[in-house]
Amino acid sequence: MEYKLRKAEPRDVSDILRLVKELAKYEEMEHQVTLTEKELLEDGFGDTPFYHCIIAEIQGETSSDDPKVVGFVMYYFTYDPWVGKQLYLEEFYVMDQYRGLGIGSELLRHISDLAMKTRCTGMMFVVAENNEPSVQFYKRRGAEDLSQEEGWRLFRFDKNSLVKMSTPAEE
Amino acid sequence: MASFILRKAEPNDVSDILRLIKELAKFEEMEEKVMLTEKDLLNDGFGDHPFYHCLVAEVPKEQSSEGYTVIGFAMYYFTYDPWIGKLLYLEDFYVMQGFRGLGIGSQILKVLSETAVKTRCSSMHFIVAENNTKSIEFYKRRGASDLSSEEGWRLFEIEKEDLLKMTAK
Repeated sequence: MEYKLRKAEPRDVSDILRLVKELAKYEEMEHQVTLTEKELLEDGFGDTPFYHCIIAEIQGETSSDDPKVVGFVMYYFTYDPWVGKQLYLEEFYVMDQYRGLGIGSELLRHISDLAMKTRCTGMMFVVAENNEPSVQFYKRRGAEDLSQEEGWRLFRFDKNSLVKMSTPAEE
Repeated sequence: MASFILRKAEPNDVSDILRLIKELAKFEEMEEKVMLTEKDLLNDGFGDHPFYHCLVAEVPKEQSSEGYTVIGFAMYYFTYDPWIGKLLYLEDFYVMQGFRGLGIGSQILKVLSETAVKTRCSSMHFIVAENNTKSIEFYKRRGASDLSSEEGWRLFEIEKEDLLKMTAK
């Protein structure tokens, strides 16, 4: 099956949202996706992009068929105060029926190349601890589990806590 | 009673920022791992596209320790959650030992929270070493939840060597 990888364009936001929801569904969290196409458009294709996407597209069965978006990676750049720029892999998904064709490996190769070109010292990402196939996919390619090796724990302040903290204390 | 101000970092601050990064790394017993230079910090933070932002805490010269007036900082950047959108990511957060207990840390967190809310971020994320109980308590007191505990996320890294391996066809 012919496929190609390319940078996402504004017209891809509906496919990006569709794939984000499909991946969330796989994680049994579909109702947690509150992002809209409009936000994806503003946040990814405005003056300051907050994320970048690479799309994997399958050629249509006949020449008149539109190509179909079947996978994507979403990434952005982060900064490690010890070594500088890092590429952060936020989302990585290939539709079920298009797996086993090398699309995932090719997407990973593409962003590894991008990380090197932009002089990043590493690529980081989180994996759910019970997602064995993904953990193995990454470990086979040299990924280290920093949570295990270095004991890092990911924390969050949600909106409520942020608002509470930003409100001036009563005199 | 120490008086202090918080302000956005400027290009002139890069040597203080690097000094504080190294002090924090020393506290984590990782000082030799800091490879970043002032030049990197300058290019990466104050060029066309900043890869990070810094808030610095400054005290007047008379209160300065060994001549340093910049005695604390927070380094942050924006990340993106595909379910909810923009997030503020707190990367480094440090106040020099001699200036603790004066409310500087709390004030830094307050300004960061305001920044997050103003830029329409849904939340602030950061990682903490699991054995750093003091910091964990500091954050939990202010409402932070341990996502590693609650949602089982594990942080992974692929280093340059392995990235290079993957780029080879």
